[in-house]
Amino acid sequence: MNSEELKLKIQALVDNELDEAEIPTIMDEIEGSYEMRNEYVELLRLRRRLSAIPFPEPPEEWFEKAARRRGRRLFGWTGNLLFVGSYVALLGYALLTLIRGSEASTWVKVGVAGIAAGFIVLLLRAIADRIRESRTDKYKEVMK
Amino acid sequence: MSETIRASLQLDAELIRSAQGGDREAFGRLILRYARRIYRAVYFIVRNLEDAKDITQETVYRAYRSLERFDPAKPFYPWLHQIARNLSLNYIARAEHRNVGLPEEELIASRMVDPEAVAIRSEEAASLYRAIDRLNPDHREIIMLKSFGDCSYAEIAEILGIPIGTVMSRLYNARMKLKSILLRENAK
Repeated sequence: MNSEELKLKIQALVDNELDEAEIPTIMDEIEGSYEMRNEYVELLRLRRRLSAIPFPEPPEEWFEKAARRRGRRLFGWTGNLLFVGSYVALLGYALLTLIRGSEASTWVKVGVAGIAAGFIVLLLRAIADRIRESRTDKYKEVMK
Repeated sequence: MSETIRASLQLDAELIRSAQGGDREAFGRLILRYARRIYRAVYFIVRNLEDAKDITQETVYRAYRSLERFDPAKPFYPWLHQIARNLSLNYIARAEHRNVGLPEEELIASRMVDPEAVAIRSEEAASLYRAIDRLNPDHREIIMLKSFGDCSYAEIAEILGIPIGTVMSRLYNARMKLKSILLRENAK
């Protein structure tokens, strides 16, 4: 085992990731070399320092509630559905009225056509973005 | 793989199968096993308590919606972490929510009693965050996964899509870099 491999094994020991069978050998190496003992102490010190960083954390009860709270967004989705559904229905009605030859002014017709076209463009853009993201994400099943 | 890790993965797989079958209690238990780690990983990215809580909650919601499609044979935490990471990165990418400064010292302070200890620990935390923020993105991420996400080498390998050997060497290099930055900071 060269020096670099040994250092990685010492790191694994510090991280509790070393196979049990390897621990005695690595401990012997640490005890037998000033450099490796120093390496072990430094890694241990850094690990402790990082794990001691204070985090503002919510209390345990919050995590328990978070784990059980799933339907919170249901109302949000209902709202979105109502808004988008009504918008599409209204737009469809406006277009249908125009196609059937309403007497509305040209400005109104252009405006409605513009809104409909804009909606379609935005929708296509959103779909294209989703496809592009899913191609580059190895966790394809995860919704971003 | 140690017995403890194997048993933990097996328990996850059982809870996932039950949750996929509609057992909400199982989903709650599954999430509770990882909620704190997820919160920490999110907090490290957004550096704000309320935002981290919101994103953690959103992660739970997204996981619930997507769980049907999850393969129980795969490790659960890397998948959950990836959802949280994507949500956090999307969040800070929005300019109006950009907040990647130092942690909320007043909140950290509120958990302590001795004012002197508060000052020392706040400065220590600030110094560590400054040093971590100076690492390159690869090193920063692996330090975050190990130290704050409390990930095993296998989980890091799964999340980053790299072999375990690369995880070990990248983590070692990141720690050495961090150590040298901290030494330089202390020397100032």
